[in-house]
Amino acid sequence: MNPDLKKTSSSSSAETEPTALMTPMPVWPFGLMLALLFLGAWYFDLYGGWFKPQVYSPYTSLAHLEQFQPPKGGIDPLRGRKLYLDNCAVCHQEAGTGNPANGCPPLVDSEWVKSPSVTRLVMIISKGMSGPVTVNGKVWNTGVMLAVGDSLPGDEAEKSDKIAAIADYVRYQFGKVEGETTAAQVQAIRATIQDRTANFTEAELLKVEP
Amino acid sequence: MKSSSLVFLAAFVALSASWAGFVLAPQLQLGRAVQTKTIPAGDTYPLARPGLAQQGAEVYRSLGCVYCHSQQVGQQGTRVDVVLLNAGTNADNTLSAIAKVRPDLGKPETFIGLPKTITTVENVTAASSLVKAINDNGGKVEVNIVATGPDIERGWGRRRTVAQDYVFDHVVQPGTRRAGPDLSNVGARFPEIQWQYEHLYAPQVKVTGSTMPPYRFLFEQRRIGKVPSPEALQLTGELAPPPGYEIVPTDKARALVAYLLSLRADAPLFEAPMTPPPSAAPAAPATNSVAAK
Repeated sequence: MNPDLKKTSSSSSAETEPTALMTPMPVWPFGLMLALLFLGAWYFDLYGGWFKPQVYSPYTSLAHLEQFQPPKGGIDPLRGRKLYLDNCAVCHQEAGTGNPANGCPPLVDSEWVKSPSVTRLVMIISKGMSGPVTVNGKVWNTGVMLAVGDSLPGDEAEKSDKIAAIADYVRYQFGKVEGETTAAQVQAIRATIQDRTANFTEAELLKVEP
Repeated sequence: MKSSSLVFLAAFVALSASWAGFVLAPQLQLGRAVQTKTIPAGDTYPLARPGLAQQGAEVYRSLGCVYCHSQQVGQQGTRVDVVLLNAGTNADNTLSAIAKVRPDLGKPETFIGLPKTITTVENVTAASSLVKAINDNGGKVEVNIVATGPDIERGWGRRRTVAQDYVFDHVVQPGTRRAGPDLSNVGARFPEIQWQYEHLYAPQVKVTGSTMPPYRFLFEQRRIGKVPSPEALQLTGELAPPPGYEIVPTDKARALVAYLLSLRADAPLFEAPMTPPPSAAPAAPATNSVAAK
């Protein structure tokens, strides 16, 4: 390096270059930082949920979340729904809209579901149905419904109980018909058709009191 | 460079701090999530998607649906409604229990038009004494836990979405933009397969004012065979195919619709409590506008 240049640059002349000297930092930024840290920690404690994976806004802690848990006990109101999902929803879909791809008619607003008595519904669930059927003005003729009710697990009383739960769910959910069907009612209906092995057809069912 | 080690150290600290915050911490927090049980029904949630729907997730990804549709529902608060179903045998005692929380309802007219929401309280614990008092008199009440917030009002979901909803998503597609409506619950809101096909083919026919482009390349026009396909789209007007032809979904459309129908985040969970859904699809608004009340 050129010795002249070096000499110039290291010159301590105040006119050419300002020089930074050691100065003590004012105290207030430090105080501000502590105050901000405190505020942040306070806010986190209030709303952060302490990294608990189950705490999402608008809940602030597990204790807060506990206060919104549904009360325990009582019979399971969703039993009919569960049975429907396990046994019927494969074809009729969870929302009861049916599936044109396999010729499965809808249950929503279907006149078969809205029928005033549960008899026809129990017969269909028990033994299945095949052949053409008119639902909501449309003819469905390619589908075959299996004897789902007969193939439910359990003895006759258990089957009847499950069919009653399914029928009530289907009637309420898709037909807006309220009512409680007892296992005994279902068992009485099933007793009249117990020897039957074939599926029902529309013509046969229409002979039954709706 | 005099302070190169210092620069390196500073960069290292900055990068590892953000890695720890954005990658490591969420992984430790949520990375081992597995199936759980819904509350109170005890169903397993979430269930893995059926194969066709899993293929549909890839179609959804390849079509870039995520650029306009989010899959995350927000929630601002939770409301607890106490609904009187049945006055019970000792109606006077039921009334006096109700009058303690709602003096204006402590008269026999309250029993007209049940079920009726008698009060809205802050949380379930706050409702328990009222519920107990009415139950002791033979009455029947229901405690409804209802999520609130703009997204819920739009009908996009019944509760907020939580990490549990995405356990089986191998590319999680929560999205960032909402040019279209949120799709977290599209399977519950529009459960009809044919509706979904026709909406993909001609969105504006199904949703007036929709800005979604039609996805007609997911369908094919073909000559009607011996019998018309049950899946053929019911189109009218200028969209209708020429006589003797029908428009049917391709495998891609079938997969995509299976995926869309599998999208539903409405199971009641511990971290997102709500009253169990009655399931049937509510008529939900399809656009971004807030539902008319």
